This record gives sequence, structure tokens and C-alpha cells, in this order.
Amino acid sequence: MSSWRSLARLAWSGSLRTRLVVGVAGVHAVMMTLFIIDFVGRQELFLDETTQRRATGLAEAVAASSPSWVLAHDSEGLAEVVGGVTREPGVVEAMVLSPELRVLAHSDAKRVGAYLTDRLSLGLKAPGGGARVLGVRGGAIDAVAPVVTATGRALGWARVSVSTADNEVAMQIATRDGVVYVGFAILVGVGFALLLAHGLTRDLRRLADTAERVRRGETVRSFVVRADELGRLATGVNAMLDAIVAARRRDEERAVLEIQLRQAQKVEALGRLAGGVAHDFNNMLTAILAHAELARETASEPQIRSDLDAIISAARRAAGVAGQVLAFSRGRAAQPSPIDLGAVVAEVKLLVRPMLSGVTLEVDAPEDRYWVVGERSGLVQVLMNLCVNAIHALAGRGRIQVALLSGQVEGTCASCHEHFAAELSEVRVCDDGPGIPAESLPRIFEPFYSTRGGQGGSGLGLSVVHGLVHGWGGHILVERDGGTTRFRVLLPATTPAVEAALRPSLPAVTGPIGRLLLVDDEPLVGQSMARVLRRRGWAVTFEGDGASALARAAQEAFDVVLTDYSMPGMNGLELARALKESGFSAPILLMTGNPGDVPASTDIVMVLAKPPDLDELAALLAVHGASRP
Amino acid sequence: MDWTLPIATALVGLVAACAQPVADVEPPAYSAMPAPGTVEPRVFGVHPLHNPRRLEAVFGPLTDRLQRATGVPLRLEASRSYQAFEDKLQARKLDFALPNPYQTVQAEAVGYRPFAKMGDDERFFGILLTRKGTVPTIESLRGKRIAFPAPTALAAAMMPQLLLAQAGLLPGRDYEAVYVGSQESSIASVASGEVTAASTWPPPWDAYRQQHPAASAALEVAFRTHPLVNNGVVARDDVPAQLVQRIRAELLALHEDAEGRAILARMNLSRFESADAATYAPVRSFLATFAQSVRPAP
Repeated sequence: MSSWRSLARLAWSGSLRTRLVVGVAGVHAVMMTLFIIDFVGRQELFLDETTQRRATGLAEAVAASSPSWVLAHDSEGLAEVVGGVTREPGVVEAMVLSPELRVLAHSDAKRVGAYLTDRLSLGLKAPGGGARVLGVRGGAIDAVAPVVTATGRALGWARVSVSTADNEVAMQIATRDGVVYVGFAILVGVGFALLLAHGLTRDLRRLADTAERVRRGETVRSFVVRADELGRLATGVNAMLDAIVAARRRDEERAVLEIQLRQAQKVEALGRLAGGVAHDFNNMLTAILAHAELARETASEPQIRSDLDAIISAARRAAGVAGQVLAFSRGRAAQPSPIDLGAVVAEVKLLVRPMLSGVTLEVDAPEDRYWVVGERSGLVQVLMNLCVNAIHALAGRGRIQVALLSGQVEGTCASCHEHFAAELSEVRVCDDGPGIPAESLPRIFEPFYSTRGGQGGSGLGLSVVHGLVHGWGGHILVERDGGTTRFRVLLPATTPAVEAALRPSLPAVTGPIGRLLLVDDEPLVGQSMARVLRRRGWAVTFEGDGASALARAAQEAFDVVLTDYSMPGMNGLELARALKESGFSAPILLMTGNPGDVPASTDIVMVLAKPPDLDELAALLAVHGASRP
Repeated sequence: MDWTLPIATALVGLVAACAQPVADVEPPAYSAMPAPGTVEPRVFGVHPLHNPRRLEAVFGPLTDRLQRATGVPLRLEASRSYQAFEDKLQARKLDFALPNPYQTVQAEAVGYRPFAKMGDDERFFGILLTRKGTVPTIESLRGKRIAFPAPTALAAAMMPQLLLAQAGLLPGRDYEAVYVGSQESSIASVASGEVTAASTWPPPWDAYRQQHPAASAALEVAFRTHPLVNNGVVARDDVPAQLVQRIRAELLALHEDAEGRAILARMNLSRFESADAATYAPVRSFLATFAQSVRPAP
């Protein structure tokens, strides 16, 4: 019993599939066993009843044929009657008895004349009684029928014994067949249960797999389509999954926004810092350039002039770097302008070189100049991002190739998926690293998507590339060729003529020009610039703050005002507004180390970035302020 | 408590209980002697006046009456044929018997003694039945087939054959004698046209007319014999005389009450009479004549 319970408990504590199979098969087996037991029992009863009816019928037949012979005490006639019955299948004994139980005829002739003396037979001496079964003896059923005349006179009994051996054989066959049927039915039941369980649990497993995939973060749905309860469950699961996915998307969007917010805050803080630094840096560069220009103009020795040229060049490059810092700090693209891709590549090459560390950088920049419409610092950032990604992919060993090309290009953009065909200039960045996994390609331009996991990288690099390039009307192609990954940045081509059109034409400066009020809170800057501009023909009055300048303007006439923007007390714009309000009509030019910080104003004619090209500055001043009537 | 197994067991038991096997019994026990207390009846044999069933219908009430009157179990016994009856007499298997007159005479030789007889001797004669109008004279039966119940049937065979012999017709020479086994068969054979004439005696003919009025209407009694002594009632010589006397007394008094008359009516008889060996002297004379004129007595 305990083992039976343990087995049942084990089967019942298994999987749903096991329970279904064990349950259906078990119930099937029990019911079929009961059915077969009942069937075999009924069959046995039926066979017994049939044999009893047959024995009784044969006894009645003997009794019906016997009266005349019994009346005549004709043993021959009775022997014929009994012999006829004895020849029937299964009849083991037949006899005709007198009322005194003397055997008048018998299937065994030796019994004729003997008397029956057993208790059961003696019961026949009692008056009355019809045909009936006496009982079973030795595998045979005994039945008797009274031999009566037409007048109802009892003449004796006909007694017939019919063997039940055939019944036993039939029962053995029925039992054997029943066992076979039970076995077959159990097999069919198990098969049916397996099919049923498979049909149910297959889709349940699918639902469970779907739930597990959702738990792992995949966005999937259940594809179980059924009309039953499981189908409704699948529909409910899908609705739940939709809700989960929507919630997860909201969480992700919220996380992205939070990251973007933090990034923006960091960029803003960094921008402010960079802007401040660049502003001061530009002021210093302005002073350096101005003094260097002054020194170069007065230097007589070639070596000194050469050294001063180097200083001027370095200062201008430093000014360019400061300009990029300012562009970065502003966080927005500057006004597109024709950019020489070759210059950009050269600059990036200088910037990247310290990071190479075992990686070879090859630049293929032909003599031809490739002009594109863009923004210099943005282009530098685009190429920097691509090169930095390549350096990371190579992990200290490999080769990066940067090449410039131009021509008709047709393809489908890897980031915006737009098909395009146009005459484009191209900067191509290739590396022979392990390549980008195929499954990652569709997502590399998504914000915050990174293949570097937690090993650095914000996941914004290629996203920035996408935004900048498409902001300039360009596209990006990404190609994988064996172990080579190729990024092709395609930008609308332009020509130097366009560049010229974008720049104001500056007149040549010759001779004394006019009176200039120069305002700057940095004496070193202001005085140096004043000296340079005086040497270019301007009568320069220098003031160190806005109030002094305002007072000076009230006392003297000026043809043009060049004022710094960031000054203590009154800034450049406030000074310009005050001048205009006081009726000052000369053009006012604003000069600042951080042009992005200057709000739009109608009080000034233009904003100049520090450090200015002093020749260009002189020319601009001439355009706006020289020879005023 | 896990009820699964007990419930399953109960179900199986319930199903098994639905079967109702027949009780086993002992095999029959045979013995040369009857069970204690068993009384074997005296046997009363009647010669085949009728087939056994009709014989039982006619003589069964008489047997019951005699049994009731004497207190001795009495069993009526028929015989399939005259020969079988005579064999029983010769084997002394019958305690009492009602043989025909010829058999009565024959039985005396094996120890049977007549003690009564059926009355109405004037009705103990033989008749020849023919299809109406087909046999105008007895001579017309020459060369024909004539049915008889049995060679030893006195009234229904021997007496008609003597009548035919007296008319010059001998069996086998002048007509074909067909022995059909019983009175009913003899009558039926002429009704069906198998024979030209059938020999019988009045009681079977009366019964046939009652049972088959349509068929019997086509027949007629063409010839009849002279009457002789009726059937006797004999007892085997080892039967107690007292019992024989009680039987005779009951037979002779039968016509004195309604029940007895009803019993006699079934036999188409008015009464039983007393008899002894001398009563059958005419029969012995007839037999001698028969043997001399017709054929040897069987």
C-alpha cells in the first residue's frame, strides 16, 4: 500500500503533462478493467443462462416425446428418444425416470432399470413441479421436465445434463480477449492522453517560453491561436505582455530622458566652463596675436620674423581649438559653411595620434581639395567619433585607414534607411578589427546603444554622427567586408566658389581710415589691438570699461565702435544700447571670445570672434566705419 | 485516508456480486434397489385398443378408480403393438391385463387367469369399412388390398378374415392382407384410399367418427361379423387373490355409480362382467375354426 501511495504521489506531483497522462490512463484503465470484469461476468451469466435454458429445453423435448413410450413402458422407444437428445452437442447424460425414480431409459444403457437414490433426485418424488434446473454438477447443468399426459397425469421425469465445458472455454476466450482489450484500451488511452497532454502543454510551454523571453528583456508576443481556454489565456498573456512592453518602453524612455538630461546638464556645465576658459583663452590669444603682429611688423631680422610667424600660426591654431571648444560648449551646430575635408582630416589626424597606441593610422588625402557643406568642429567630431570607435575595436592592434573620395554614390543610408543617389564627397574610415556583429548593425545608431558593454563609451557617438551628418544633408553607409568595417560619411559636395560667396568681400586697406573707439576691459588686449589698428590707419581711442567709453563717445565723434562683450559693469551690448539711446549713430561691432553667448541685437552690426584675424578685422572696420561723412 | 483503492475494490465486488451462479449439486446416485419407502405399482396392461395417449385417456380414469379403491398403486401400461403386448404377457411383466379374447386364451398358458371381462358381447364383432358405394358385394373384395390392425386382433382381424374365408376369400390368395399396426391406422388407410377395405371393430370406428366426421362420412360399414366374447381381464397367478377379488368387485360395480358410468362411457361399454376360463370356450372354438379355415393361429 505505501509503495502504491508513493507511486501515485510521485506521478501526481510531476508535470502537468505527467498528471494528464497518468490521470487519463489510470481512469481509463480502471474503467476498462471494471467494464471487462462486468462484461466477463455478464458473459458468464449469459452463457450459464443459455446452457440452463438449453438443458431445460432439451429436457422438455424429451418429456414431450416420451408420454406414449412411458405409457407403454417401451424401453426401445424411450431409448430412441433419449438417444436423439444425447446426440445433441454438449449433452453428457439424458434419462427418463418413472415417478418412482426408476430409470426407464438412459444415455448409458447400463443404467436402465436402476433407481436414483440421491437426495436431489428424491425431491422429484414430490408431487407437482415443472421444468427446472436442478443445479450444476461436475461441469454440467442438470435440468428436468415432467413427463405428463394430455390429461395432466404425471408419468415421470425427463432429465438432461448439458456440459458447461464449452462455457468455460468460451469464458477463457472472453477473459483472454478482455485482457487484450483492456491492454489495448489502456494503450489507446495513454496515446490519447499523450496527444491531449502534448496539445495542451505544447502551447503552455510556448506561453512559458514567451514569459521567460519577456523576463529576459525581449519584446515578443505569444502566437498561440486557439479557440479554447488556452487561446483565451494566450490572448490575456499577450495583453499583459503589451502592457509590460509599454511600461518597459516608458521606463526606457524615462531612463533615456534622464540620461539625456544628465548628459545635457553635464554638457551645459562643461560648456559653461569651456566657454569661460575659451573666452579668457581667446582674450589672451588676442593679446598674443596682436603683440606678435606688432613685433613681426617691426622686426627686421628674418629669424625673428620667422619665429613670430610661428607664434602667430600656433596662436591661430590655438584659437581654432578654442573655437571648437566653444562650438562644443554651445551644443548646437554652427551655420553650415564650405569646409575643406582635407583640413578636417589633417586636424583629426593630429588629435587622434596620441590615442593610437599600437594602431596604425593611414590617411589617404589627395592633393585635390574636397569641399563639403558643413561645420568644421562638427566634422571634426564626426571623424573623431569614427576614429575613436575604430581604435577601441582594434584593441591596440590593427590599422585604420582614412580616405577622401568624391563621385556618384548610390545606396541606402545605414542610419536613416533612405535610398539616395547623388554626387557626393566622402570621407571613409576603415579598420581591420573583428567587425560589428550582424545582429548589432541595425541598432548602432540608436542613442545609448553600445557594443562595449560597461567598458566605456556612452553609446552616443554614432548617434551624434547620425544627427550631424543628416543635419548637413548627408548620409552614412556601413559596410562589412570580411574583417573590415567601413564607415562612409557622404556629404553634399560644394566648391570654393561657394565659399567665396559666403564670405564678405573685404576692401583693401590703404592709408588713414577713421576714428575708432576701442573698448575692452583687458588692458593688455585692448592696448595691443589699439596699436595694431593704429598701424593700419585707424585713430584709436581705447577705453577700459563701458562707462568710460560712453563718456568718451559723448565728448568725441567716432566713425565706428569696437567693443568687447564680456566686461564688468556694463557689457558690450549694454554699452551699444546706451550709445544708441544717446543718439550715437556710428556702427558698433561686438567682439567676444565666446560668440555663442551673445544674444541677437539690432544695436550692433556684427559679432566678431576673438582672436580676430587682424587683417580681416581691419577690413571689416573699414567696411562699416571708414570714411563716414 | 486514500479512498481510491477501497472504492475500486468495492466496485469490483459489486460487479462480481451481480453474477448469480447456479448452486453446485451432487451427481445422481444409482442403485439397484429403490429408495426406502418406495412402492412399485402394480402394472395394468391394456392391449393396443388405441394408441398409448388415447389409451391413457380412456383407461387412465379406470386405473385411478381401481387404485383408489384398492389402495394399491396401479400403473396403466400401453404397448406399441399387439406383438409387444403379447410379449409382455408371455414374459409375465404385467400384473393385470386387459387382452383381447384371443390373447386371453393365449395368456392362460403362461399363468394368467381371467377373472372378469368387458360386457356388451353383442358389440364384440368385426366390421369391414369401405368407401361408400365402392364394394357392393363381399366378392368385390377379391384381388383387393384390405387393411387389418394385426394378425392377432380377434375382432378386427381374425373374425373378419373368417367371414371372408366363409365367402371364399383367403388372405394372400384372394386379397392382400395389410397389417398396419393399430385400429386407427387401419381406418385411416381406407379413408386415404390406400386400401379398398379396412377391418376394425366398433369402439375404434365410433371414436374415429367423433374425431374425423368429414373423413368418416365418406366411409361405410360394408360388412360385419357375428359377435363373440368380449375382451377379458386377467391377473397373473402370483398376484394375491384378495387383490384380484377387490379389483373384480370394483370392476363389476363400476356401472353402479356416475363416476363408474363415465369411465365405462369412455370405453363405449355398459359394464364389466364376471368371467373365468370357461367363459372363453367359444373363443377357443373360434380359434380352431379359424385355424382350419383361414390360417394357423399365431
